[in-house]
Amino acid sequence: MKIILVGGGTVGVSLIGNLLSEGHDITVIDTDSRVIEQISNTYDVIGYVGNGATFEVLRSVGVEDCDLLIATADSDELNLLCCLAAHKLGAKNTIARVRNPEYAGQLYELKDDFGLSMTINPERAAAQEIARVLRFPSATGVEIFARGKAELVSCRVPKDNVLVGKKLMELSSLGINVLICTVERNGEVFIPGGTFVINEGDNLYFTGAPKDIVKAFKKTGLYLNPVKSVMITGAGMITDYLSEMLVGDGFSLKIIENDKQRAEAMAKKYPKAVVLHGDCSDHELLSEEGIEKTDAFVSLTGLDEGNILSALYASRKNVNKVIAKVTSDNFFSMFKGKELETVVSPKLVTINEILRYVRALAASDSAGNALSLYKIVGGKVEVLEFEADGYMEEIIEKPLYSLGLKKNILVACIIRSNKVLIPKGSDSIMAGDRVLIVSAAQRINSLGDIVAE
Amino acid sequence: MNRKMITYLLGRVLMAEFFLMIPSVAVGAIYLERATLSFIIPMLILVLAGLTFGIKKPENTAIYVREGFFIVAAAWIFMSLVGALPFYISSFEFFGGVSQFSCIWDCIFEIISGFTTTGASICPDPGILPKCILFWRSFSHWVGGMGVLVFVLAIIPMSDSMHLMKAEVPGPVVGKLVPKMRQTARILYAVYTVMTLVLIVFLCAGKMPLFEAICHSFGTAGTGGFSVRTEGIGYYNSAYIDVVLSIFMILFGINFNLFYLILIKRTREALRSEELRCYLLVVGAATFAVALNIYSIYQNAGISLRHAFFQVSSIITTTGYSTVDFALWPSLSQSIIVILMMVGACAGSTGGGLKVSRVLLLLKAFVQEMKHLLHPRSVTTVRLEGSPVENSVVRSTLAYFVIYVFIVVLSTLMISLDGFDLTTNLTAELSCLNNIGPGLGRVGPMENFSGFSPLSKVILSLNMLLGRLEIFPIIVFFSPGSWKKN
Repeated sequence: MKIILVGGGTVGVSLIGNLLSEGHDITVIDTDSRVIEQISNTYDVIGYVGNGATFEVLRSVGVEDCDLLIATADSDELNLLCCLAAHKLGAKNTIARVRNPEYAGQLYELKDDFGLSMTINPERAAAQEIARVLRFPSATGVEIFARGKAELVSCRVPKDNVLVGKKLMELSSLGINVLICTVERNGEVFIPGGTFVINEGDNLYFTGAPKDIVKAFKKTGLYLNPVKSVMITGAGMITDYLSEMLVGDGFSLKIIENDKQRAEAMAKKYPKAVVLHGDCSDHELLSEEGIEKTDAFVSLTGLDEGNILSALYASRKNVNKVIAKVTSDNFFSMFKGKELETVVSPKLVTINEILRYVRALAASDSAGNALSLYKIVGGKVEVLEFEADGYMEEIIEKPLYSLGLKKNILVACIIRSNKVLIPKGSDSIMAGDRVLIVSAAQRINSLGDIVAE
Repeated sequence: MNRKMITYLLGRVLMAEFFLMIPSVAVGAIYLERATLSFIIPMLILVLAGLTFGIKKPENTAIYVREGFFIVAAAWIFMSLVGALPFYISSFEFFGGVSQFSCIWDCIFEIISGFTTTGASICPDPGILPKCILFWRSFSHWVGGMGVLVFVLAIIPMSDSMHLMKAEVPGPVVGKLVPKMRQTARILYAVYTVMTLVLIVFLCAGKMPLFEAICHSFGTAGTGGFSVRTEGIGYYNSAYIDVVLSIFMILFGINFNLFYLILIKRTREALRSEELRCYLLVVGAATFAVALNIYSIYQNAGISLRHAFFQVSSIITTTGYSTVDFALWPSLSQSIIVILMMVGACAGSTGGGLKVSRVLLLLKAFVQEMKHLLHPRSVTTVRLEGSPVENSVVRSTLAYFVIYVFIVVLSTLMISLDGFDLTTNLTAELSCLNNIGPGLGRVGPMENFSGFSPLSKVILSLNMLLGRLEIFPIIVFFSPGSWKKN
């Protein structure tokens, strides 16, 4: 695809690296000639110096036949103007980064006027990610399919779990209505069959309806210690969004902020939350406010180092779920997965959201007719969503066991009239169904590709 | 320095050269020449080197400016060393023995002259060389014109190849046509190939034999200048061929990006190019002045104009074909020709020289400096193609010019050891550094370079490489820092 990026900041540069490796043609626009020189020297892209919101610049980079324009410049207004101009000149899709919460509400209504395909708010996206983790603490990742009808949740099998040593075919006897579609074991990926035996430490990927997944987690004892009370340090924009999401869901919140005015503003906005004015790194204050008794600790101050240190302190106090916000890439790779289980970076969340959109766009673009495409297990496995139509005679209305699927391909979910069906061998795909396909083998472009020749 | 990546890319380049030798072998096979066998040993060397180094891609493929310069310089030097072997081997009795080369240095000089599209020849009488050798000589122009690394980039996918392209494609600023380097390289070669084919058809229409038409087209496309005829283009004595070649030489001296702009129907933008206008203006003015000046010799306006146009376009594009001996022209015409030698063609073309855009930049920088002298507090910028030029580009252009002059002085001094006159030495040096071919005096259009000593031939060969790769890669290659471990 032909992609134009406006703004060569940190998000822009990380996007370039990712998009290039997926084979897109990229043009970068920035007003700073040094930035452009640096980028075009390191990456295989065309750089252009100028203001990306002007017709003159957009025309000279050929916006009229570009597939996607992504505006991630510093200013919200510039990004919006940029998308508006690009849309006017014929860009097929546009994405703008808009971070000011005051615009957030009206953007939904203005979307069509600006010609926006998507807006991304890094802070809001990070808050969503954190909220997802808090609601589902034992999951290592959550993806949503078919407008929320189905979910894909990954989880590591702890020691002494009931699942250890069980074959997959024995699971239905536990009364679980979900499917384990992928297993990651020591970096190796399996698309498991019925005789696959689960080991301790395996990372399992479940698909099913959200409610069924929660039920399955509870039944198997994977749903450890649900989070009820959350302690948050720092009352920035992420905290603002996060509080809005959590207060409604009945979490009890404790927010610590060292700026008096900011703390007062939060207290006014969220009367149900306990807002404290004090030093976020003050261990005595944290202990006094019961850090040992809280279910989850989230550090969201503006300082990476402070966030990491107070999160480490919380883990030492045996807080069940600890989340730290880290902006710098270096800190992220340094701490993620080792001392700190969950590290959230607004920048990475933004990049992932945009990449997900681009992939879905590319998937629908590249002859394939997948409705959406997700990559899991570090890109080794693809999950694709298709709609079955009546023309696929070799597939529809035939029991799955008789189809002769290709190796390493699995029909993970069938969504029929808004109900999620976990397919067994005797089930068949009907016209109009939405089907989730998991593939570790090759790119599947249409539903017909899943059958071996 | 990423040594593994350097050897890998060099292996790739040598592999590419193996395939590039095949057409010459085919020509030899068609004419059933014994000299065809002289390609066996070099091709064996190339395929072995290619298979040893060019197969397994290293894990770390990151290359930076220094590696880029080093790879380009090394590729050109190794290619020339192996490429010279067919000339050398074919001179032995067994392979036919008709050779014009007396030692290996002659052969190296000849092939470097080919790859760098200089066209300066050692051969007193190329007409008697075997056809396959003649073809290889001319084909080297075609390959060298657009660049070997650009050719390799068109085949293998690489993410950070900008440094390679920058080191090989001439001009102060290198622009890409489309975001992907590989795509850009392919478009360049496609435009190049189509234009060459068109020229072959035009030349055949002028009753030039097919083989000669192909060789001369290669020479024109790469702005090289090797002729298969001892008398050069003058042999045909045809106004049609002269005019066709003149026009195509000028076309191949234009920035190839402009052809792409025309292809994607942005013709107006292409024609607005400041460099193009300046280039055409210089060609027009020089042709007019030379024609007036040589009118006294030919006594015919048409013939004077035809010779003047051919010679001016041949020299400014640094091709170096000749129809008449301009060494016999009046001194004003000779001076104009020497100045055109230095100006050269447009950036991003296959031509050599300083490049029109650099000369423009130098003049504008000079004007800016004058303004600054008179108004010390003035803030001024140099503009080219309608947009302001970065100070760093102006600075590096000035540095380039200084080093250029320094190399001319030093090399001329060293060639003087052979005892020829100043005109010969200076024009031989300028001709080699600017990749033209003929000079004046004893290296005039009807003469050749065989009279120089081996030392001078080596110096001139190096000058050709310096000129083609725009000086810096060669300097990086020979600087001790590039060879140190770690």
